[in-house]
Amino acid sequence: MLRSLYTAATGMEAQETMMDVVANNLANASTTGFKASQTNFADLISDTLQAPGGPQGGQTVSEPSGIQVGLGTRIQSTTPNLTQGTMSNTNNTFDLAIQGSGYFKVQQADGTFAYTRAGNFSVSAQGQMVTQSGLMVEPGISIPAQTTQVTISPQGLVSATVAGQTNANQIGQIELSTFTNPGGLLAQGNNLYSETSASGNAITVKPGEQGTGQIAQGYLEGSNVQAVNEMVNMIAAQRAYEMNSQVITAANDMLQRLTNIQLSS
Amino acid sequence: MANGIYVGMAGASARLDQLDSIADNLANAESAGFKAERPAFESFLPAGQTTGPQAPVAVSTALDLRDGAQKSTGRPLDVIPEGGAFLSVALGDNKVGYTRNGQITIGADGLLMAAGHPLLDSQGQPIPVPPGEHMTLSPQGTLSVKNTQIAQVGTYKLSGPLERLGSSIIGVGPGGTAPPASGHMQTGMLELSNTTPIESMVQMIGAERQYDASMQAIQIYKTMGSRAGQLGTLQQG
Repeated sequence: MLRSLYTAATGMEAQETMMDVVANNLANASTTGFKASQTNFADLISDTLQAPGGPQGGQTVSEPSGIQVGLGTRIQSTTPNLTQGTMSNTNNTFDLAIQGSGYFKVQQADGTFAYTRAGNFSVSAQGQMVTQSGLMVEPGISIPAQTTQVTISPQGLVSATVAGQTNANQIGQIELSTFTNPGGLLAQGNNLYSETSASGNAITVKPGEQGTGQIAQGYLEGSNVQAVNEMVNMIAAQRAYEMNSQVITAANDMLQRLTNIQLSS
Repeated sequence: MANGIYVGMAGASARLDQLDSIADNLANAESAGFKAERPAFESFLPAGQTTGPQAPVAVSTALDLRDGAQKSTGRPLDVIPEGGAFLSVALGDNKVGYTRNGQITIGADGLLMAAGHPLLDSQGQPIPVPPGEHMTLSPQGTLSVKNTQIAQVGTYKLSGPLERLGSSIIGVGPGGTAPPASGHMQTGMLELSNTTPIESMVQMIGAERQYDASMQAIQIYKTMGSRAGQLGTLQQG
């Protein structure tokens, strides 16, 4: 049977996955700190009918290239697009945005660490700075009782003014984690990422050091999904899907023509 | 039987091979660093004959090494080697493969990876990444940690017989060469597939029509064969 039937099918399957990724990006166009994913395709192995460099067809001279027919495509990976999301001013004390690279580190219920770009923090009943899902920021920051004002500097220094006092006291330092290959982080949902062998270990630094961004208090980083890009990707996926289906139609027509010859007398 | 029917058969068969190549090129229209294949056809004479109908066969598939479209990704470890050069990767058994898929990542064993295999420096050695350090890649292809150069990424120009090894990796066949290139690269960019959908669709229509023509020829030879049979029947009757 024609290889092209199966080759085109791999193309259609891969385009379906691309549509899934586009749909997820668009669905998260308003998610704080969300990073759009991109789909990466790679070719499959090739059928080598004739190895390059060998003599062929009864000839004595060797051909400069062999005969190889590729067998289609597959999704190799999906990687996050790490450009900055749009910043919006919220004026909330515990809304923090990172202007540049780096991740906030938070401790999960099981004691392991996760990383996030979503800086929409709150204060828990115990006075700890936590994410919207209640995970503690690492290193932990306790807000003293009767605090009237909290300021967070671009370098991550957290200062609190307690009622009855005029001077602010330093109560903590927000640290950022950076990775050699942030594209290798594993998305866990809830805006959280965890480190993998592909991302490399987290490197913890103060904001602004080693190429990380500074903290902007009172701002939130929105999603970096570019609606126009996603629409273009959607059109590209849809058209590529159609073209692959055209190949199947062509292969089918050619096989049908062959069958007709055998049947007619 | 007239041997023209076999020429028709070879023609139809060659067009089926061509469709396989077109299908693969189109399926990989989104694969980073993909190089389209171009089947080449030659006519041949049956052994020992000097005249007569010549049948076409696919004699080789050449890789189209033209650059694909480029896309800005903003990822510091996405690269496009300059001047059509390729990155080199270790394939095991001391074999080296080449790729234009410039999405560099870090593997489980702390080595830099490209197209799923360890990326090689200009000396042909894998590049270990110091754990817990911030690394930068310059447009000159040098990898640095804390402003100290740790490796120069190797790039190579390919020529001669090439073979595709899958996953966007190309190998150099017997007689092919891969001399070193400058190592310069564009960072934050990726090269897409060099398949052009319009070209592929036109080739597909062409292959289908030529296949039809070959089928028509087979049909005519078949009719002629059955007429000859009828002629024999008339003589007997």
